Amino acid sequence: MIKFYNVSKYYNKNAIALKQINMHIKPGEFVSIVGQSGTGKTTMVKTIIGEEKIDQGKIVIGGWDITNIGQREIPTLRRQIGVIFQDFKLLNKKTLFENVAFAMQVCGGNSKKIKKTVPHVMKIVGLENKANRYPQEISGGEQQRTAIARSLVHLPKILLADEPTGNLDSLNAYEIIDLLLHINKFGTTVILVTHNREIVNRLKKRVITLDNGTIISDQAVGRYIL
Amino acid sequence: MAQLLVIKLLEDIFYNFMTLPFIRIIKFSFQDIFRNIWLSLVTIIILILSLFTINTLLVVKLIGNAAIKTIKDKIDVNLFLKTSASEDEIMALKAKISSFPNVKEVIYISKEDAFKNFKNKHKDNSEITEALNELGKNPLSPSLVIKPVNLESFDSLINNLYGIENEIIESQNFTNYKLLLNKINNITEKVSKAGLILSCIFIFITILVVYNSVRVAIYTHRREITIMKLVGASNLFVQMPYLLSGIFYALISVLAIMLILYPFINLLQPYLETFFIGYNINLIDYYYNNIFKIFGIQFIFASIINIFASLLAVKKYSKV
Repeated sequence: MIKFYNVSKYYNKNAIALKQINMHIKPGEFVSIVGQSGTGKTTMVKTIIGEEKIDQGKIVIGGWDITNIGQREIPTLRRQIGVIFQDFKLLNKKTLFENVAFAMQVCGGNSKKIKKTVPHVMKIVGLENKANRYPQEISGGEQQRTAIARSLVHLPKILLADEPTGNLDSLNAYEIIDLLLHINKFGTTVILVTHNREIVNRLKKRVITLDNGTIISDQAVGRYIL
Repeated sequence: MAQLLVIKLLEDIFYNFMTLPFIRIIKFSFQDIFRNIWLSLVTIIILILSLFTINTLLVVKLIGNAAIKTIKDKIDVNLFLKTSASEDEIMALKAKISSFPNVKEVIYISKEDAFKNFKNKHKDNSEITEALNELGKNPLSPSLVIKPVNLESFDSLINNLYGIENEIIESQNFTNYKLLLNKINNITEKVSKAGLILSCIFIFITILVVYNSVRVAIYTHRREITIMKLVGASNLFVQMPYLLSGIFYALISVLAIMLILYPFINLLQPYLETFFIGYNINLIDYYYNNIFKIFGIQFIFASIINIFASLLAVKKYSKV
């Protein structure tokens, strides 16, 4: 599903974000990418969604070589990859329903499809009864669930979660991880970027460990080794 | 650079035309305008000022042209003759002058006709009527009214008339209409130039203001733009509302200038009618008959400027 061939990314001569990365993530896998702050985890996410260009190597996603992806093709790529972040990125003036619908509206989805899809994804994340609330009226965990619902509206093949539990207490964090596992069961490839040791150890899934922009470990059933 | 931006925009529209939800883009555009309502108002006011300058320029041009036309129509030379001149002598002189190539027409006004015209013209002025009655005789001279073929032949006609040596001619002092026309031409030209400079300044200010309005609108919506891009909205969808805002600003400004100009022209019209008495100079009619042409061009022009300024801002600031 995601293939990195000798990928390197430099911000400048002294700041090497990724160095000779070789990685292959299969369809339907649940992979945790771990490492301390500044090791290149977020850069890796950015290269997958076309936000950052790489300086060397090749990236192939679902058979599509996105190494030199053009500006016009980036939206097509991003509709196939759901992304969630630590800060949720919700719009406070919109209800949860509107926040989720927004992702479809801005991509040209018609109203009929929006009315059908949004309640469905809200149900998957367990927020069907809070659809008319505003982000500030719900907990952090619920806000992250909303963000997950929004990332699911395009039925992505890949779900990228960049530190999704960073702003949550442990109870909410585990709920989010359970939800990601649930989504993974439907066949969506999930990539979890985190530095939360307990979560990674509890998952018992594949773990790729980054250090200074290099992969130092790739274990099929891994643990947080740093 | 501007050409490249426009070509790229047109390419984007062409490639995304079928998938673009235009109604949603219009809705987003209105949201941009209303969320920054004060900034939008300032932008519209600046646009109105620019359009007002341009319309003032147009009115000045119209009045200038009307003044020139009026004077051109009035150009003639009055050759005053001695009261003792006989009809035969006058007719001989008339024939001589008519034979000049630069003469279009020569009209003979006898002293009786001149007296009748004079009395008619001043029939409401009792002082003049009383003075004439007291005088008891016709004090006016006969004259020849000579019209030149065109304005260019005016100088040569004057020279020809000065060259005539005939003792029945009383005076050879001719009003120099050409000088007057040149003066009007000069004034109109100077006002047009000043107006043009003022318009350029306003256009420049408009570009700056629209650019900044769009920049602030983008800043206000930066979170939305980030999300739009993350969830896969096309660049055109992100940028189009701001470009449309530019067109809406132009539309609102043109409609406003129509409302502002109407009373302004109505106020000016009676003065023009008094000044150009006997001539059909009607600004209201002119604007009414050319409403689509005048304001259509202004709308297209304002839209192009606004789209250009918005495009510059959007390309620079909407990269998330």
